Amino acid sequence: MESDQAPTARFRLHSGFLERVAHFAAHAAARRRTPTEDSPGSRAPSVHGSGEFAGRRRYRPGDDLRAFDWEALARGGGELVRLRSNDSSEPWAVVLDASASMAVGDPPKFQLAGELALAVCAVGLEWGCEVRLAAGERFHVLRSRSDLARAAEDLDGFSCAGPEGIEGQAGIGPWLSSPALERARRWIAIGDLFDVEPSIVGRFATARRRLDALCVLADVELSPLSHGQSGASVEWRDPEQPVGLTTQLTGAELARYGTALSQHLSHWRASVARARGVLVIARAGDAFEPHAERWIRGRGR
Amino acid sequence: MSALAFAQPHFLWLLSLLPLLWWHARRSRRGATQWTGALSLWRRAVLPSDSSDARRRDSLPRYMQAALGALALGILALAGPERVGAKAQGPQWVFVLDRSPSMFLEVEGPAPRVTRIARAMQLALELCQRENVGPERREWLTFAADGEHRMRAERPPDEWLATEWGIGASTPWGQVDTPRHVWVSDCSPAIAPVWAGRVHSGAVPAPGAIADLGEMELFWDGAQVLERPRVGARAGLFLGAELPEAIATLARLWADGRGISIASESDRRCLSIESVATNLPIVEGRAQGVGWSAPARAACLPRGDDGIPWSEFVAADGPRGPAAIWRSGKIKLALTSLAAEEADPAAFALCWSELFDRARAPDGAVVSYGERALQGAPRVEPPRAPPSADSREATELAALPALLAAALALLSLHLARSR
Repeated sequence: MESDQAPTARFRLHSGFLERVAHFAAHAAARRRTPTEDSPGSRAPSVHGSGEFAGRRRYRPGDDLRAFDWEALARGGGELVRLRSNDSSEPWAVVLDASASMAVGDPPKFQLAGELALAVCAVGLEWGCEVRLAAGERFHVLRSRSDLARAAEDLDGFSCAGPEGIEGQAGIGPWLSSPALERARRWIAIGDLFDVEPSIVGRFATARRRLDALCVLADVELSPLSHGQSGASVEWRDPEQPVGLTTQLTGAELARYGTALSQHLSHWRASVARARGVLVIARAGDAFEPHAERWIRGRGR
Repeated sequence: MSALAFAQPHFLWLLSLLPLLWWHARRSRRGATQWTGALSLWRRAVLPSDSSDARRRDSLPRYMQAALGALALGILALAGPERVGAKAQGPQWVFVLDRSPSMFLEVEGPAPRVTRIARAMQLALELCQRENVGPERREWLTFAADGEHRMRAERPPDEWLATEWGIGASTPWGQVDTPRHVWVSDCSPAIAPVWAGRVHSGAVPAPGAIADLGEMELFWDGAQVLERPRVGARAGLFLGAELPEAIATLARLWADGRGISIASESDRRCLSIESVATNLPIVEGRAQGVGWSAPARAACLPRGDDGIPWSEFVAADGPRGPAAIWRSGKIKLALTSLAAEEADPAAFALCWSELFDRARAPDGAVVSYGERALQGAPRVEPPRAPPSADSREATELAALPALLAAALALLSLHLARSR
C-alpha cells in the first residue's frame, strides 16, 4: 500500500545531463541539414539570421506549396521544400506542468517532463529560436546555451508538489493567458495534460500560433493493473483533489478506464492537430531522447 | 405501555465496536492507496454521472453492511431485551383471604386492638405497595360455604373483614399454591407454599370456646381445657317477613333439631332467611325441587344477584328462575307463597333442610384449640415469579433480533459469494 501522504517530487539535474541534451540538440540540428533531408550540393544553411535560406527537407503532405523547391525537382533532386531561418527562429514558449499530480509515478513524471523541457529548449536554441521556459512560478528567457545551463540549475531541486501545485496554480492552464508568453509563435506544453481541457487548447491556437503537447504519463496511469492484482480494491487519490475514489481492478472497470484514457488522448491529439502541432506520449522513467526525437520528427507536419 | 429493557445490558458496550469495525472495513476495502493524476478519468469511467452510484461506491458493499447489521442484532439479542412495562404491569396477583373463625380473633397490639384478618390485610396492602402491584392488578379470593368469591379491587369489601358477612369455610390451600397467588392468613398451614407468597398476621394465643357441646362448651383458658356451661348466646336463625308459611315452619323445625335458637333483629345469626319479593312483581307458577313440585307465587329474582340458585320456579307464562339464592349465612327466597301440601312432604323437607345446612355459617365464637393456641410472628413473602413464563417472554423477545441476525448473516454470506 502506498503512503497516504501525497507524493512529492523534485527535479534532479543528473550529472552529464546537460551534455546529453547538448548532444541531442546538436544531433537534431545537424540532421536537419543532412543530405537525406537537403538537396545535394545546396549551400549550407545560415542557422541564424532572419529570412535566410536555412536548408531543404523532404516535402510532406500539407506543406505550404509556396515553399516547394521546383528547381530541385527539375534537377532531379526529388520533392523538397525550402527552409528559411525565420521559420526556425520564431519565439517559442515551453511550458512545464509543475502541478502536484506531476509527482505521481516512480520515478515521478516530473523528472522526465523536466528533462524533455530542457531538451526542447536546447533544440529551440540550436535552431536559433528565443525560448521562454515557464514552470510553476519560474520563468526564464533563453537565448544561448549559457541561459539554458542557468535555467537547468534553477530547475534542479524544483519541487512540483507544494501548495501551489495543490491549488492548481502551477499547471499549464495559467500560462495560456500569460502576457509573458503572448509573443510566442510555437508553444510546447509538457505535462500529464490532465489539468487542461483539450478544447481550451484548441481555442488558444491561432493562425500564427502552433502548439505541441508532450504528454508524460506514469505507469499507473497507462496501465493501472501494473500496480495491483486483478480484482483487488484500490483507492485512487489525486494530489490535487481532496476526495479519492475506490475501485476494483476488474476487467470491466479497467476496460472503461482504458476507453476514457483513449478518448482523453484522442481529444488532445485532435486539438493539437487543429493547432498544427503534434502530440507525443511518453512514459515516466523513459529516457528523454526517443520522445524528443518523435517530437522533432512530428513537428514538421 | 411497555418499554424496552435489557437483562444483560453490559453486552451493549459491544455496540461501540461497530463504528470501529465499520471504519476498519472501509479502510480494508479501500485497499491499496494509489496516487494518480488521472482521477478525473477514473471518475468518468466508473461513475457515469450517477450520484447514487457514487454514494454506493463510497459506502461499504452490501455483504459487509449485512454482516455489520447481523453483528449489531446479535449483540442486541445477547443483551436480552425484555419489556419492562409488561413485567411491571404483569398479570394479576390473587390474594387468597383466609376467613376462617380464627382470623376474627384479636391480635395484641396498640389500641385499638385489631383482628388477625385486619392485620393481615394491612400487611398485604403494604406488600402490594412494595412490589408495585397496582389496584388494577389485585384480585381478592375467599372461600365460604357457598363456594369461592372473587373480586378485582384495590382492597376487598369491608364486609369480608367482619363476621357479619359470615364466617368463611376452610381454604383449600393446595389448590391456590400457584404463581402470583398470595396467602393471606394468620399463620402458615401445615404445608408451606411452593409458588404462592404469604402474608401472615402473626398470632398470640387467644383463650376461648373451642367446642360447642349444646348446653355446655369446652373452654381453653390458655393453659388447660375446661368443660363448662355455655356462656353467652349462640348464633341463631333469623326468619324475615313474608316467608311462605311452609318454609318458615320447616326452618323452625330444622333449627330446633340443630339446637339453634330463633334470633331477633339484633342477635348474632348463623343463618338468615329473608324474602326478596317486597319490591318485585309477583307471578303465578310452579316451584319444583328434587322429588317435589307445588304451585307457588314468586318474584323474578334480578339477574346477577349474588348467590347460588336453589330449586326452580317456573312461571305460568314460561320464564324460569331460582326458587331461592344463598350464600354462607344467608338465604334469599323468591317464593312468596307455596302450596306445599301438594308436594311430597319428605322430599320437600329434605330439599330445604339440605339448603339450611349448606347455608348455615359457623359460629364465630367457637374456634378450634389449634387456632386459638396459634403463635407466630408476622411474615410477608412475595410470590415466586413463574420462571418459565418470564423466561419464555424474554426468550421470545430476544429471539427476534437473534433470528434477524441469523438471516442477515446468511444474506451476507450469499452476497459475499455472489460478488
